[in-house]
Amino acid sequence: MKVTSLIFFAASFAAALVYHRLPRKWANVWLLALSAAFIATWSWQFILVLALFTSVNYGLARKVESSQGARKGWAAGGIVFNVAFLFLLKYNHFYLPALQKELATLGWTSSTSLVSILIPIGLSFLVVQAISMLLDIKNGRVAAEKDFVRFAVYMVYFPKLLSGPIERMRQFLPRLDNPLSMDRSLLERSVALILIGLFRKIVIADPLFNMIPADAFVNPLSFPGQNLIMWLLAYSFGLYNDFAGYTSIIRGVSLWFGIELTNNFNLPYLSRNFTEFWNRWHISLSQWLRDYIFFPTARSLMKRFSPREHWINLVLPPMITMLVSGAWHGLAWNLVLWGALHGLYQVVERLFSLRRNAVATDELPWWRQSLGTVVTFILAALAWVPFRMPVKIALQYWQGMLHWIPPDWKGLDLMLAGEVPHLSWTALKLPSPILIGVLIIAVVFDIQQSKGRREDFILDWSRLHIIAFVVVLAFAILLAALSDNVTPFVYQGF
Amino acid sequence: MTQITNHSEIQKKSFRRQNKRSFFASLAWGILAFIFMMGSLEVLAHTKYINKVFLTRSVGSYHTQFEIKWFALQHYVDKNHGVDVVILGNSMVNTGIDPVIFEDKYYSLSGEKLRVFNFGVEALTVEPLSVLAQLINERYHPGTIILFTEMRDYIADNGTEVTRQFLDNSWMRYQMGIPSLEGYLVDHTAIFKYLLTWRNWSSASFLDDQRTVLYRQANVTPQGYEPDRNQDVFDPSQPSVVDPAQRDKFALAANFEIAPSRALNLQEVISLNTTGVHVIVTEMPVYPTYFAYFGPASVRTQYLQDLGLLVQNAGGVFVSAIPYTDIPLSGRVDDHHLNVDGAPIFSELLAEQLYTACENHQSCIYPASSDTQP
Repeated sequence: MKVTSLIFFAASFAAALVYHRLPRKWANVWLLALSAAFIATWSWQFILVLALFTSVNYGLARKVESSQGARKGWAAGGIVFNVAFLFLLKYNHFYLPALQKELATLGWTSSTSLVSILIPIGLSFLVVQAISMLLDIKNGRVAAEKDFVRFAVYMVYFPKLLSGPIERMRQFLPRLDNPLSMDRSLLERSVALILIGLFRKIVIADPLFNMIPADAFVNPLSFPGQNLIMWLLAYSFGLYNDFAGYTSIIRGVSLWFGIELTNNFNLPYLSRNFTEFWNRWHISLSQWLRDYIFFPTARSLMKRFSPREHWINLVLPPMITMLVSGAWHGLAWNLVLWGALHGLYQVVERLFSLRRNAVATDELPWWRQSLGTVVTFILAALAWVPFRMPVKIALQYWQGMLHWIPPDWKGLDLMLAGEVPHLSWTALKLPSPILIGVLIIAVVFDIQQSKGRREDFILDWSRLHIIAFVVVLAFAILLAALSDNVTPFVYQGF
Repeated sequence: MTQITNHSEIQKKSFRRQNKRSFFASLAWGILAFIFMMGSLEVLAHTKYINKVFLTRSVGSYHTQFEIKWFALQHYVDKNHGVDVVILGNSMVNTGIDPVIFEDKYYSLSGEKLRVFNFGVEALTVEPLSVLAQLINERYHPGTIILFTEMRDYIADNGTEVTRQFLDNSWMRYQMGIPSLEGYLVDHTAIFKYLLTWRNWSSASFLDDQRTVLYRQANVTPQGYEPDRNQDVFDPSQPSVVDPAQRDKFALAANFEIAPSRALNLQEVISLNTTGVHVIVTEMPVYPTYFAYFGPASVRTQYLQDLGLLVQNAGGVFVSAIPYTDIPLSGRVDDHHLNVDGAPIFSELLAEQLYTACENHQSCIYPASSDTQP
C-alpha cells in the first residue's frame, strides 16, 4: 500500500479513531495488527520473515539483559545475527548467482527465487534499529522489553516500517505508552505535515526525477554539461524532497495515533558545513552512526593515539563512519565512494577547525556563512553522483559537467517565433524551463520553512497563502493521478 | 536555523494562532477555490479563449495521431453538421488520401457533394480499427465507412503493443462500456481533455512531445489528411532477406495466413452494415516489392481469395485496389506510402473507382441519412 494513496490515509485515520477509543491494554495489540495488515498489503511472506526477525531479536534482547557475565558476547551475537540477516536477504546478489549455479548442477533450479520474495520492506532500517536496541541494553541505557507485543510494535510500527525514521527504544516506548491526546492542534499539525510531505513528493520530487532523461545517468557524455548540471540539481533536490516528503507524511499519520516520530530532515541544503549537514540530513541515521560508530571508534582510537589532534584521530572516525553509511545504503563501490567523499569532506573540515584562529560557524560574518552553505551544497550535490550511478559512469558524469556546449539561441528565437515548429527543445541544448521552475519552487519552499522556523510552517501562513498552496497541490495531485509516471520513494529501496 | 519540533512548544504556539484563524477553515477555502477554479476552467474550455491557455487536447491515449484525428473529426462534424464518409486505415491512408480532392472528383462525376474525412492512423491494424469503426459509427453515424486493409493486418503478432496502448486507457475503456470516474470525466467535460495533455508535464520529453503534437496538428488538414512532403526518389528494388534492415519485416510476414482473431475483427467492422452504415473494404495500391516479404506470389493470391470470401460471408463489399502502375514512382515515399504528389492522384482514382463501382451496381457510397452531429 502506497503511503501517498487515499486508501492509506483513509484506513489510517479510521484505525486511529478506533485506537483512541480502545482500552489501553488493547491499544498495542491494535497497532501490531495494523502493522501486520500494512505489511500484508506488500506481501504476506513479509509477515513471516518479520515475525521471525522480531522474535529472535526479542529473545536476544532478553538474553543480553539477563546474562550478566556474557552481555558483550550476546550483544555481539545479536549484531552478527542482524547483519547476517541483512546480508542473507538483501545482499543476496553476492552469493545467490553462485548458489543458483551449484543448485542447478544438482538439478534444483527453482528454489533461490524464494530469497527474493522474502526480502522484507525497510530491512536496512529494521536492522540498524535492532542493533541500537541490543547495544543500548548491553550498555544499560535501556531495559529489555518483556512485553512481546510492545516490543513488536517498536520493531514494526507501520508508519516507520518502510523507511524509518530509525527510532531508539528508550525514546519510542515512552511515546507509545503516553500517546498525545487527539486535539485540534495535534490534528492541525498532523494534517500540515501530511500536506507538506505530499507537496514535497508530488509537486517537487516526482517531477524533478521524471524530468531527468533516463539516459543521463547511463551515458552522460552524450549530453551537454549545462544540462548535466541541471539534472544533478534536479536529482539533489528530488532525493531530498522525496525522503523528507515521505518522512513528513508518515510523521503526520503517526500523530493521528498520538505517537511522535523523530524528525529526519531539517533543511539540510541550508547547512553551512558538513558537520551541520549530517545533523540535518537523515537525522535518525546520522545520530545512529554518530552514537554507535563514530563515538566508539573515536574513543577507542584516542586511547591508543594521543594527542587528540593526532592525524589518526582526525581522519579515521569520520572516514569509518561515512564508509559504514555508504555500506548501509548498499554494498557497491559507488556507495563506498559516496561515503568516502563525505568522510573526506568532514576530515578537511576537522583540519580547518584545528587552526588557531578558527571561529564557530555562528560567529562568522554572514557572507562566510552563506559561502559555506553554497560550498557545502555544491560538494554534497557532487557526491550524489556516485550515490546514483556506478563509479565508471559517475566519473564520466563529473567529466561531462565540464563539457559545455553553447546553446542554440538562434534556434530558440526561431522556435519562439514559430518559424521552425519541428525543432525539438532537446536540440537547443538548453535545460528545461519547467525543471528550472520546479527547482525554484523547491528552494522557495525551503526558504519558507527556514523563515517559519518550524517543520509545520504552513500553519503560520495567511489564509491566502494556504488557499494558494492547496490549489497548487490539488492541481498537481490531479495531474499525477491522470499520469502514468509513478515514482516510488527512493529510500523504500533500502 | 533551529526548528521547534517539541510538541508542547508547538501546541502553545498553535494555541496562540488558533485565536486568529482556523487552519481547517483555510484548507476548506482552498478546496473550494480549487473546485471553483476547475469550474471556471470548464466554462473557459467551452469558449475559444481556452486555446490561448491550452494548445492541444487529449483523451489520455498514448497514440498522438489518433487523438489529433479524433478531435479533428469532432471539429469537422461540428463545422459541417455531420460526415458522410469516414475513411479508416493506417498510415498508408493517413498520407495517401486527400478527402478534398476525392470529394471534388466524386462531385464532378456524380453531382453529389460528400463530406469525407480521412481517419487513417499510424500503426493501427484491423484489431483497434474495429473498435474505432464502432466508436465513430455510434457517435457520428456516417453513411459510409471505407476500410483500407492490408496483409499485415492479419498477422496475429503485428501491432499488439500499439493496440494495447490504444485500448488501455480510461476513456477508451469507458467507450467500450467499462465505467470509471476518469473515463466519465474525460468524456463528459471539456477541461479534462485539455488537462490530459499536461498529465506528463514532468516527463523529460514533455516539451519535445508537445512540439511534435503541435507540429503534426498543424500539418493535418481539417479533413484529416496529413501530407507527406518527402519527395526523395523511391527505390523500387526488391528487398533482400539477408539485409539486416529488412530481416524483421521478413520474419513478421513469414508463413503468412489470416489469423482467426483478426478475421473476426474484420467481420466486426463489416457487421456495422446492420446499423445502417455502408462498409466498403478495399486496399491501397502498394508497390509489388511490398509483397516480397510474404513469400511467393501464391501467398498473395491465396490471401485475396480468403479475404474476398471473408468479406462476402460477412455481408460486405470488397473493392480491389487500383493498379499500382497508376501511381508514378515519384508519388511514392516507399513501397506502400504515397507522398504529397501521389496522394492527389490516388484520391482522384479512388473517387473514379468507387463511382464506377456504383454505376456497375457493385457498391455505392451513401451519404449520412441526415445531419448527424452527436
